[in-house]
Amino acid sequence: MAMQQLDEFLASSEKRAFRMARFAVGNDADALDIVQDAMMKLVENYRDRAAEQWPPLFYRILQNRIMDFHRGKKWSWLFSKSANDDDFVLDSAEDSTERPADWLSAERMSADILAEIEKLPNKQQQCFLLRGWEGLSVKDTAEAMNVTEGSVKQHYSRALAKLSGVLEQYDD
Amino acid sequence: MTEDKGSKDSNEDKTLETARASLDQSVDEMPDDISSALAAARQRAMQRATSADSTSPEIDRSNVVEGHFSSKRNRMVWGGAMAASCAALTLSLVLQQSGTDASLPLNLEGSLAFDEEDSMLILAEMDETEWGLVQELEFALWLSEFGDEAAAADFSG
Repeated sequence: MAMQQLDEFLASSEKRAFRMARFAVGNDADALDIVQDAMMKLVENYRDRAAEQWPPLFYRILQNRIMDFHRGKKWSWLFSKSANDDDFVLDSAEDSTERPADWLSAERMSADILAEIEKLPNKQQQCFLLRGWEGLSVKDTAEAMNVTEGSVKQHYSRALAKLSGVLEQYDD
Repeated sequence: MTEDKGSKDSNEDKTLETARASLDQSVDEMPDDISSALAAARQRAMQRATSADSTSPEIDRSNVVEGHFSSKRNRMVWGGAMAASCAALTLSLVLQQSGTDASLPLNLEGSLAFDEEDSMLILAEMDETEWGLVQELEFALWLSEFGDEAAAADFSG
């Protein structure tokens, strides 16, 4: 029964988790690895925990994997002369510089919002996704990100202010 | 003031709502290959858990034992190294203080002129009995030094 519940939880979270990881790492392959790893760890180590504990645990593991990825990337960049900064440029961020004539459309606004989320600094981005999209409490978000609750509030409000800036362009 | 705050809150609500809708849409429109890769990853994770549950949880004792001994070995090596450093320091101080050239009839300085690395290696390999002897020797040296100082104090007094 618990295993079925866990399977349902993962099925309902895997795509959102992938989206979060994809925002953070900028490519599908690494995002998939990170999510797979997080699922494995949750199932292996925390399957016996109460179901309500799974979301914060799962997102904490996910955040740790994302941090590991960035650390690894940093080191490989430091040690590799062939490292290319273009790796860090995100596709949709590039797209956002293009401004077609019909940019007032809702679709365009949605794309701009996603591009802005992608451009947010990592902590603001993940904080916004966990708190604003996934609906985790301030406490759970702080635990998942291994930061203080005050820090969560600060990152969240900064992220929201930046995203509001995108919408303001459409209000003018 | 409150109007500004209300307007700000409403802007934030609108932003949040739009962002959520955009994110949800991006998840709904996720390519099939990624969706199936995620589903496969989840199944692998669940299968691993099921197979782990069906077999009795067996701890790899060899690793545990090896880990225990390796940590004990590490402690011994570090302990030996520390002791060797202390002993080397004590010996060098004693030799320096006693003026080996003049007071020692034999050329002990030459025979004791091993470097710190050698002494560390020797002391690291000592067993408890030998280590006890070294400690007693150190104590005896300290005692003799103490005796000299006491005697000097007596003479001056």
